[in-house]
Amino acid sequence: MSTLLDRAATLPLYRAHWHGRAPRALEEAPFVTAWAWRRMVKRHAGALIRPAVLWALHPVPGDDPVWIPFAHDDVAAEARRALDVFRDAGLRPGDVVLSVAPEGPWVGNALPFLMAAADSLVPDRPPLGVQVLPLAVLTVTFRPDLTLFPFRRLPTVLVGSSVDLHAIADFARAAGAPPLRCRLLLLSGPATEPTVVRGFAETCVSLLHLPGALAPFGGRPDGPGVWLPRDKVRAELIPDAEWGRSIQDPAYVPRALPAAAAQGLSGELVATVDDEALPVIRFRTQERVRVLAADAAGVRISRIAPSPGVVNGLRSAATSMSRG
Amino acid sequence: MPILHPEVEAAPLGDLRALEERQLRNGLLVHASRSALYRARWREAGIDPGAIRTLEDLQRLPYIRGVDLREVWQHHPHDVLCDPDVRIWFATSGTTGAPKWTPYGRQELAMFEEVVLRVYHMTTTRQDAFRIAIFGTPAPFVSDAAAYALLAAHVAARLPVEYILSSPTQAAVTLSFLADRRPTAVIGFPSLLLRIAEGIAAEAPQAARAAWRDEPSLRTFAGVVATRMLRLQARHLYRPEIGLFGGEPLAPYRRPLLDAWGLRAYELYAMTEYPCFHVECPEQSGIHLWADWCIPEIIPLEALDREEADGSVPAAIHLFDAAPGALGEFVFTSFARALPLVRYRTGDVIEVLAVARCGCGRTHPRIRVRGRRDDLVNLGLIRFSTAELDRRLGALGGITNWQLRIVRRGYKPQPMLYLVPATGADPAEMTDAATRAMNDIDVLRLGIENGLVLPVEVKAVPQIDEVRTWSGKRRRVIEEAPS
Repeated sequence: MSTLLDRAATLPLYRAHWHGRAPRALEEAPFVTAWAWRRMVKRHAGALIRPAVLWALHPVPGDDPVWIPFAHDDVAAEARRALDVFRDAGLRPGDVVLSVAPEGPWVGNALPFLMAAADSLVPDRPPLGVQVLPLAVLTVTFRPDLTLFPFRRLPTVLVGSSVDLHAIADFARAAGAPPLRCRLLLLSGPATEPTVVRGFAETCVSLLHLPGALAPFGGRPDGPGVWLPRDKVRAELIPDAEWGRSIQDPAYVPRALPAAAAQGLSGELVATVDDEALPVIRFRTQERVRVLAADAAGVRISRIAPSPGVVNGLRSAATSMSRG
Repeated sequence: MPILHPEVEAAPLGDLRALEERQLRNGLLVHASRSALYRARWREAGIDPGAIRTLEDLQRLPYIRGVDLREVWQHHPHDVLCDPDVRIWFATSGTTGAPKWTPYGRQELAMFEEVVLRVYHMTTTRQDAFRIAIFGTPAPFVSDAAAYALLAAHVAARLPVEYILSSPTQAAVTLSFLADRRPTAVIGFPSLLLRIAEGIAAEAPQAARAAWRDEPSLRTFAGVVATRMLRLQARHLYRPEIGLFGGEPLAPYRRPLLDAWGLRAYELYAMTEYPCFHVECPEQSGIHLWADWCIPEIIPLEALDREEADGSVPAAIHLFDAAPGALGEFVFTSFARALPLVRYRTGDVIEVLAVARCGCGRTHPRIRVRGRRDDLVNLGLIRFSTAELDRRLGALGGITNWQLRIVRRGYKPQPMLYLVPATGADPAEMTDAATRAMNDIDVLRLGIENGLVLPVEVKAVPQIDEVRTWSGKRRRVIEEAPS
């Protein structure tokens, strides 16, 4: 971790955020909110550790999106990691994958190409061998018949957020498509009812996108939650009580627990993500999660729905910060 | 500017013709005949695909159209592919408003990457970062997902590019970012980029004041002063050097793009059915149509008119044999693996500008896309079928005839509907009803609401000034200022 902090300390972006005092340990680094990140990047986007080959928008719940840079090596490394995530999640050669994306632009739209075209980026690994049919929800609202073909190809895997899947299923039904029943559901977005999930697929594996990562993080069919490998992500948790207090009092700096000390607790995920272009250090994701398990290799978390109070609090806090 | 692969891009036409014939001799059509798209059709025509070995032989094959693709996908979705190694299926809402799904396998993706690199070398010699802002299209068109395929090609080749992926829906977030990270190039639909430029000009004073409030400095103060003294344009703030524009003919937008963005505009021609895009070179004397990835043909306009008159099957000629200035429908046979398209009628009317070697050194023929041949109301990015309009107007009752003229005010298209009310019908009522009927067309309403198309004007007239083809067919949609 000190290497990551040392690298970050060479950047004007973090030097300014840290007021010139480089932290000796991760816990000493101040948090980065989405608002602060936008401001930091706007001022210092030209000074990265490695030149960016891509700037992509990462959505933040209840807030405006943030720009995240990726270097050449990040894209190749993420394509490699994506192969592992998808295989671990249960994708098999021959799978037909219907990938439902919200309206772009956002980093999650890289997913179909990470599935389909990783060959050129990771030539030493066998391709996934799946067929991907990407659909954008808002495109389908204008052309419900776009759903007919992918539904008729009988997808074995469905990828999308819990919000968008219902919309797609409704449009497909309206267009006269056959009902969809898959072997596997790769689900991002807010947590949803297990009965709803079972309506789409036999097995559900969660996906989570974090700033600094082009590929999603995922779980396994035989276990709950999402796996965050420690060589890519250092996870911390701001417990619910601390999070709530920080929303009510923006001046209050909440205390975050290392994931190992937060097992069984729920709260806001704070992520430190290694990125060759610009490491993301102690980013307050505004994602409410529960820490299921943690060890030296990584952390397993599950995404849980934020209470309406938290959502509204975040929204008003974000608004007041952007005005202020 | 250097040519990436001169042995192909600058090859003599004879070599390109030989390359195309080699594809035929090496079994392209036998491979294609595995698809339900061709099997029955060729059997009925008595065609042995193995016997088609020359470009002359190819002329014996029947054409296919978009409707054939849609039909085979609808009725034989599991019997379409010639090669099961499909990685991704790509779809857009479709030029004609009817979606088509196209399979891309490893070969198609490799072709796409090769073309991306060719275009990179066509448009820049920069050794430092080539910063590209891509404005993907919002619904109901495609999302930004395709941009990642462009990126993959550049990353694999380790070229010094920097992509900034956005869309008009995130214009505010993006433009604020781009003000500091000035792009070298922008990519998007020309009408959308101009719409964004309009927004920039209108909102610049407010944005400058906000920047001053946010961060008082000499620079932000100068911004406030500048917006008071002159009308700031996108070119003052972002200064991209070039723009790549596709999805609609560039001609009406080229000059306004230069004025608004101060960039050199390159025209790009692409379609969902074929993972290859064709671009102008720096000579800007037409779009180079890559002839090493397909066999290009053209059905001359006269033959198309005869087809309209008597239903005869029109003959096509190889594009290399077309005279400069020839107009007609573009037909191609692709060298795809997953699903080769054989004699595919695109519906696009092209003009052959030259088949001689270009000043840039490339030999691939140069064309300009002139419009669409099919039954389509084409307002650039916004398109819908004439049949839909006819159905909506017919449902009103009380209209005996109509004609839609597409005019341009500046660069923006405006639909002008002329209608003849039936005897006894109130012209004012019919005008109002027809206006509502047109605004009920989702995609048109969206275009108007987003400022891409000017509001519809409807006029009741005693009679229509008919426009007909030489063969006598009535044209209901007329573009008054063709690009």
